[in-house]
Amino acid sequence: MNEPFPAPDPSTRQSDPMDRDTSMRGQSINLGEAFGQSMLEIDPAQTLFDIHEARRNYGVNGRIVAEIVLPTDEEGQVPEGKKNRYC
Amino acid sequence: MKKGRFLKEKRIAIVDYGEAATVGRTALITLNGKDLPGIGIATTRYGLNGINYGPGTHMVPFQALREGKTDLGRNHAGQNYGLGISPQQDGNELISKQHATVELTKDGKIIVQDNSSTNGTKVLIPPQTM
Repeated sequence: MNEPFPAPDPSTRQSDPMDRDTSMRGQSINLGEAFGQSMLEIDPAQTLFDIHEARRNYGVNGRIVAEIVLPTDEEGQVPEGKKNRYC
Repeated sequence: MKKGRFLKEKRIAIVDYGEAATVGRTALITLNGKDLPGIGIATTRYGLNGINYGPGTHMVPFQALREGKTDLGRNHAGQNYGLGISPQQDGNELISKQHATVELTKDGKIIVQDNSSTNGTKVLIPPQTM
């Protein structure tokens, strides 16, 4: 008797490139009057990001949909390795 | 801590904690890939996490993202306290008073809008890694 098909492993799932709009992935988009665009709509379903990567790199327990970058003039110390930042 | 580096921007991630977060079961942060449920529990599916700056007076830079508009800027110090954006904290002078708005729509889309800020807002979309 054949073994039933195993449940798909979400960590190794390959999304079908035909069913997702990949045009925004990996892009850096500047918003503001100087850039001629002030608004950006993001569909979280289109911006898959490996949850394990987020945990490893940032200690964030989730999937990063996008990053918002705000300018600062802060001078100071940056945690090395970007994780274990809570102590 | 590594000394001698200078932070010139705050990178704030829009994070999807998953559906389990809506019933308060998802830990906000992890240690070596493992949940730390005693540190903090997400109660909304989406949130904002500072990812390139230290916690300062906070355990983790964090703000919940609920349906509707969430403002970011120095004029929203009370709301943005968890993200470390306030006039009282050094280094935020280049962030405008009403810098940007993040809107979570009813149909699950996220809209980022720059509110005519002086220095603009950058949005990074991660590459696909799954």
